[in-house]
Amino acid sequence: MQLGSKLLVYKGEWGLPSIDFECMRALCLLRFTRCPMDIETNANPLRSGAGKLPYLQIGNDKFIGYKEIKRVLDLKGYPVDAHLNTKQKHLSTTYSNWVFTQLHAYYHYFLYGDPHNYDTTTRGLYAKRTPFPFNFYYPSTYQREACDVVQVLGGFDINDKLEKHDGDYLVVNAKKCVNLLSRKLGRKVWFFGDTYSELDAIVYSYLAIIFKITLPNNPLQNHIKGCQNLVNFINRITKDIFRNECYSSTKLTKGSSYTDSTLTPSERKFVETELNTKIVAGVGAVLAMGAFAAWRGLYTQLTRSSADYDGVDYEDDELEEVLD
Amino acid sequence: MQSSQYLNQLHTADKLSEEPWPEDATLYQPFEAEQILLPENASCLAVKAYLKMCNLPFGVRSCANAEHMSPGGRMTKLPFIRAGAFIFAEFEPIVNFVEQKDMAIGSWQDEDEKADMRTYVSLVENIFTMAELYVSFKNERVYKEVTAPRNGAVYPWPLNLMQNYSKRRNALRQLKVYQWHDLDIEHVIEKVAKCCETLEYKLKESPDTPFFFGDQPCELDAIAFGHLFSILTTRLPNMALAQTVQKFGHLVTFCRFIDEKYFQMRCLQD
Repeated sequence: MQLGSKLLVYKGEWGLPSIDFECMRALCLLRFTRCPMDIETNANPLRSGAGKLPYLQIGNDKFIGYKEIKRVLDLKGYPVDAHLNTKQKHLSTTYSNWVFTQLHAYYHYFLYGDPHNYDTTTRGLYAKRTPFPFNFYYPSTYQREACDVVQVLGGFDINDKLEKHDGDYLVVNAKKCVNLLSRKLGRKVWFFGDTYSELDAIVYSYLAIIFKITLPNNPLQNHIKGCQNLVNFINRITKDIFRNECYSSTKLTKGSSYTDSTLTPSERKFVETELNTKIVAGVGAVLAMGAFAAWRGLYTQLTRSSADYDGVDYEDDELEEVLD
Repeated sequence: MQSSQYLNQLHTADKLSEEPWPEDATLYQPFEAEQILLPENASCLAVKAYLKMCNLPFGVRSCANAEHMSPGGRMTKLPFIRAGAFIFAEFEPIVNFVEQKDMAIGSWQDEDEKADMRTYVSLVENIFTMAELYVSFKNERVYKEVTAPRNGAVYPWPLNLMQNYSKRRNALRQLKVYQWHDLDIEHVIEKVAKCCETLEYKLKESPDTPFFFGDQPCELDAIAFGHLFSILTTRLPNMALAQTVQKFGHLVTFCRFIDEKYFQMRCLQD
């Protein structure tokens, strides 16, 4: 692999390497096959050329989206299904496709389609990872995409009234899918025994996000909790394979969070923020206080008094000079 | 739409299994000679093959507005079946309905085999339907010469343009959701070839029997037959799909066998 090539993805949250399904899939391909490539988690989605992450940068060439990335990795000698036998290869394809049809609509509806979930959680996640003026507009592109997905795979329009949203159908399908996956995984390390496959990448990407995300309304989360082997599967991959990429915004202050039970909620929120934000807030506070002081005329008083003092001093000097 | 389908299935599951298969069950589809498009033809044929394999009697009714009468679905919304008080559209809901009546084929399979089979069914349905939609709506020549005139055939002048427009927009949206919209025709062919390979491999696993799983037909046989047979026998200005399928001799033989056994249409050339 050419030197300096790197994969650019969204930064993670809740201890996961990324918040986005497509990014997670691409990361899985890269890490499962041990492809020696850098991962940049602090990427700007607007630089990709398609307005979306993930993309792969090799020299000046950009390969945007999971499909392209997979093709490049196949060509460079890192195919994900290489260690499976023929039957398993075919099964990996069929199961991946099936998981897509069962979970894709659920994922899109509950992350972007459900208005409450989207407003409280998902919009913020994407907005935080996009630079300033675009963060107002950018997350809604995901919502528009979800609108199409839900209309085609779920059969209703997310712009309709909430009562007309037919989430039950999606939830039942998703639960059936999780049950079957749990049974198929059994006590194995990977779905096909000892070697990874594309199916593992896809299942991990969907379920890890659905399992870890903190949405107000997410019926599948508890269902996954009930399938202990899937929970172990998710935690194991997160810990073993993505040790360096995992990120959680609350992890840094875990130690101090025990002691600050006396703080008010807004103070606690401030403690949890990053250092940069603190510095900016500090500078802002100083400027605001300064402006307030100027408005109250504090500086004019100060300068006047010092001018008076100077004047007196000066007069004294003059007097002395005269005396001399 | 689908909630009513799903609730229908849920609430009436007990009652259904007691009631016999209604004599007047009717399958609704568009006109075969003038109107039907390749993806719809494939899904209609798949359902017919399935019902014939289950040995259930049904009548076929052709209506110009079958698609708009359908209660909805994920792919083509066609065909739909009216059995007693129930209406179900598309392959999977119809199969579920038949299964609740304990008249389904494939009850001999164990659970693992059944799960595998379901995934094969979903692969075949997705890949072939998307490829058929792609050829029908993305290929300029096929769209202008076949898809648009056929789809608009049953409507008078200004309405046919609107119908074509909305149908094409829906088809393109479907392709986009399945992430097929930015593919070239070569990549589409590649995907179809890969799917055929998977099917042929599965067929070769049991070389003594003509079916995919063991010596009895199952859902996969029905849906694979529906799509492969339609692709092979439909004349289009662009025959890339048919040529791809033709490379897989075992699959062509399989189609001929199912046709001989259940339909006797005999329009598949040697």
